Amino acid sequence: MKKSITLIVFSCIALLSCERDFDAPNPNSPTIASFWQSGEDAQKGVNAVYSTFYRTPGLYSRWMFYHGILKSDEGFGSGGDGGLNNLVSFNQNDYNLGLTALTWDTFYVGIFRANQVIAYVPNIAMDETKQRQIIAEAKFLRALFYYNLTLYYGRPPLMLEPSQPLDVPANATTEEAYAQVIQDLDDAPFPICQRPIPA
Amino acid sequence: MWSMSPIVPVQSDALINDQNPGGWGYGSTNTVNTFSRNQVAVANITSIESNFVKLLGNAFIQYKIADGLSYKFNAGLETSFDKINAVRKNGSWYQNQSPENSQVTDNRSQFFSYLFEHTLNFDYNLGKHSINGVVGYTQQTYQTDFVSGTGLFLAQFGGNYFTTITSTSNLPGDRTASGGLTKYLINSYLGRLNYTFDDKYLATFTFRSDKDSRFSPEFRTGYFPSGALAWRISNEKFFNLDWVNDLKIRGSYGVLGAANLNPYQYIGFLNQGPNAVFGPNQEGVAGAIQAKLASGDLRWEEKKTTNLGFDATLFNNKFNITFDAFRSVSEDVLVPQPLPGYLGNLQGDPIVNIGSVLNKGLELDLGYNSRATGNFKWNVAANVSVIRNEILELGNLGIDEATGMRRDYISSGNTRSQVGRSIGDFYVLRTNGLFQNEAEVIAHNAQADYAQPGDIRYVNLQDDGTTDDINNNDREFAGSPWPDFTTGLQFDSSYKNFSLNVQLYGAFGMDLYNDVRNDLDSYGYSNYRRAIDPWRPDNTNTSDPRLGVSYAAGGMPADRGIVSNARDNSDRWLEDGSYLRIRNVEVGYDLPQPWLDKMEMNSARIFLSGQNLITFTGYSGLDPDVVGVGGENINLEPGVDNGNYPSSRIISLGFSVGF
Repeated sequence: MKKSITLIVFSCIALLSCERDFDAPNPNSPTIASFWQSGEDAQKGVNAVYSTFYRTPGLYSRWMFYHGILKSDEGFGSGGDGGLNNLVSFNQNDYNLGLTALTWDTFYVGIFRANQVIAYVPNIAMDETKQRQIIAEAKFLRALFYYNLTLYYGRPPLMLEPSQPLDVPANATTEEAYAQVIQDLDDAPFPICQRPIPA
Repeated sequence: MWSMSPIVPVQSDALINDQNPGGWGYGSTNTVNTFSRNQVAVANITSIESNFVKLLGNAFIQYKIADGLSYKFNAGLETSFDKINAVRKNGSWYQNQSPENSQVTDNRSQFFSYLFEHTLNFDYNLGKHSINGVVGYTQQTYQTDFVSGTGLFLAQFGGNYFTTITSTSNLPGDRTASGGLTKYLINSYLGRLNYTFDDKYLATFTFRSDKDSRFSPEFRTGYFPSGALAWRISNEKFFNLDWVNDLKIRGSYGVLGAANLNPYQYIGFLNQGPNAVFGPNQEGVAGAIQAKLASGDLRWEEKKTTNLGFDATLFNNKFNITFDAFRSVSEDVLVPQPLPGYLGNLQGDPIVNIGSVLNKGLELDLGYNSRATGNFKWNVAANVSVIRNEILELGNLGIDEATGMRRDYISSGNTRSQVGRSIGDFYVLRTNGLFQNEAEVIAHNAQADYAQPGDIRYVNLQDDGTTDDINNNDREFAGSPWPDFTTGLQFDSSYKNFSLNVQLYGAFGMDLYNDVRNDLDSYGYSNYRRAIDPWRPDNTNTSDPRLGVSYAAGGMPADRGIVSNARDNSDRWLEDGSYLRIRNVEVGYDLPQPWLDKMEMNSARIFLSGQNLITFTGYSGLDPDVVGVGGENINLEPGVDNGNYPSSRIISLGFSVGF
C-alpha cells in the first residue's frame, strides 16, 4: 500500500510539476499582438508606410520617373535596355519584368502597410489630433498608391483591409479604382488634403 | 554540374595575384572563359568542421494495480549539442567570383526534448470474449536554442591563418552575432481498444487528441480516431475448404494528423526595419509594421485513409497472399504558399493550410514456403504495388496570365504540379528530330529566323504564324515521374549449413529528367562528352544536333540556332527510368554445432553480401533511383536527376557470433 501511495504521489508530481504555457510568445521578435497600443506605435506604423517610397528602386527613388516622365512627352529614353525600351514605348510583353512587376509589388507593400494603419490606429487610446492626422496621412498615401496603380496599370485589385494569405480580390474597373482614390482623399478625417492652394 | 576546361591548370605560381593568393586555375578573359568551380581550390579555401553530440535516455516504472490492469509511467529525454565551425580564407575558386573577406563563423546549438507518458493497460478475457487496450496521457516538449558569431578578416602571420573569432578584426561592424530560441509543446490523450470474439471477429478502435502550441489557439487540438474490423472467415463452421488454412477479410478507416511547421507562425511578427527620412535635415525616424503575412487559422493537416484487404494462407500453409486496396486524402496540407503581389507580402512565403492530395493504390504480396524437411529449404516472396497520386487543391496562386483564370498549378523548374494531375509532371517543349536540310526549316516556319540544317525541330503547339515562334506557350505535359508499378522479390534458401538470400527491386514506367545529360549535351561547356555524335552534312543519321559557336565577334549576329538547341525545357532530356535492380545477395555459412560447443559459442555465422550489384535499365544517367533536386523543391521535382551520388555497390564480408 505504501508503495502505491508513493507511486501516485510521484506521478501527480510528474503531471503537475511543469507549467505548460501554450500561449508563450515568440521570444525572438515582438508580434503584432503587442503592437498598435500607443501613439508611438501609430507614428512608427505610418513612418513604415512612407518608407515604402524608397524600399526598392520600383517607386520614387528611381522607376516612378521611368513610368511617368519617360512614357510621356516630357522625357525620352534610349539605350541598350530592351525591357526599358519596351516599357517606355508601351510594348508590354513580359508582366514579370522587374520594371513592371517590382513597381506593382512595391505599391502593394505600401498599401498593405497603409491598410494596417487605417485598420488599427482608430482603436488606439492616444492624442486625438495626432490620431486623426496619422489616419489622414495613411489614407492620403493609400490614395497616392492606388492613383499610380490605376494610372499605369489600369485595373488594380482593391485591397482595403490588412491582407490575409487567402484573399483573392477581383480586379477593379478603372472607374472603381479612381472612385476609391477620391473616397480616401475625401475620408481623410484631417484637412491635409483640403488646404487652399496658394495663389 | 561543373566541368572545368581541361587546358586550365589546377594551380600555378603564374596565377598568383591579390585576388588569387593560392594561384588557383579557373580561366580568365585572356586565356579561356570558364563557368566552373575549381574544386581543389574550394577544398583549400573553405573548411567546415561539425561536431554533433546526442544523448538519449528513457526510464519507466510499472505498477500492477489488479489482474489485467497496470499503470506505467515512462519518461524520455533527448538532447543534442551541435557545434559548427566554418572558415573561409582569402582567394577565389571561379572566374568572376566577387571578392569576399576571409572569415570564421561559429555556431552552437542545443536541442532538448522530453516526454512524460502515463498509460493504463488493461487485458480482460471472458469465455470467447477477449478485450484489451490502453488509455494514456502524454506531454512532449521540444526546444532548440542557438547562438552564432562571425568575425571578418582572419589574422595571418607567416602564412598561417588564425581561425578563432578572437583573432579576427575587432573594428566596428566586423564581428556579428545572432541567437534565438524556439520551443513548442504537445499534450495528448490517447486510447486503444482491441476486441476479439472467438478469434473470428476482430475489432480495433483507436483515438487520440493532440494539443500542439504551434497552431492557432482556436485550432490547437486535433482529434484523430481510427477503426478497423476483421473477419476470419476460415474459423466459421460453414467454411470448410481444406485447401484454405486461414482467410481473413479486413477493412479500416482512420485519420492521422501531421504538424510539419515551426512555432510562432500563426501571428504576424513586427518588422522594425522600415525607417523613413523626413525634413530639411534628412532625419531618420523609426518605423515598424507587419511585413510578412500570417495565417491566423493554422490547423492540423489531416490524412484520411480507407483500406480494404484480405490475408490468406493456402495449401498446407505453403502459399500466402495479402492484398490491400487503399485510398488516402491529405487535407489542409501545410505548405509555404507563394503569394500574389497584390497582398504586399515580404520576407518569405507564409505557411498556410492549403492543398489537398489524393493517393490511391493496390498492393499484392505473394509468398511460397517449401516447408521442406530435408537439407534444402527455400521460400520466395514477391510483391507488386500500383500507386497513383492526384492533386486536388493548391490554394491561392493568383491569376494565370495565359488564361485570365485562377492559376491551378505550381511551376518548379521544368515540372508543373497541376490540379487533377500528379505532383511534378514534366511540362516541356516537344522535339521532333533534326532539320536535315534548308527546305525542312522553311516548311516548319516557326524557327525559320535562325535554324539551320542539323538543328533541333521543336513542335510549335501554339502557332502564331511567325518565323520566330518557339516559346513557353508551346510547352505541354510530357511525362510523369511516378512509376506505373513497383515490384520486389525476396528469395531465401538454405542447404545444410549454407544459406543464400537474394533481393530484387524494380520500378517501371516512370520518366526522368536527365539534368546531367542536359548539361553535357547542350554543348554549353568548353569540353564535350566522348560519345557525342553531332550532325554533319555527311553524318545525318543521328539525334545529336550540330556543333557550333553561338557567340559572334565583331558585330556579326550570334548563331541563335546553337542557343535554341541548348534549351533545357524540352523532352530531349526526358528518358524512361524503368529499372530492375539486384539489391542484395548474401551467401552465408553457419559453423557446425561441434565447433560451437568446442568454442563455447551459441551461434557463429560467416557471410558475404553484395548490395546494388547489378541494375538493368535503359536509363543513361548514373542511377535511375533518383532522389529529386534538393532544397525547397524536393517535393515538386521528384523526377529530376541532377547527378546525385548514385547508390553505392557495397561488398561486405561479415562474421557474427553469439555467446
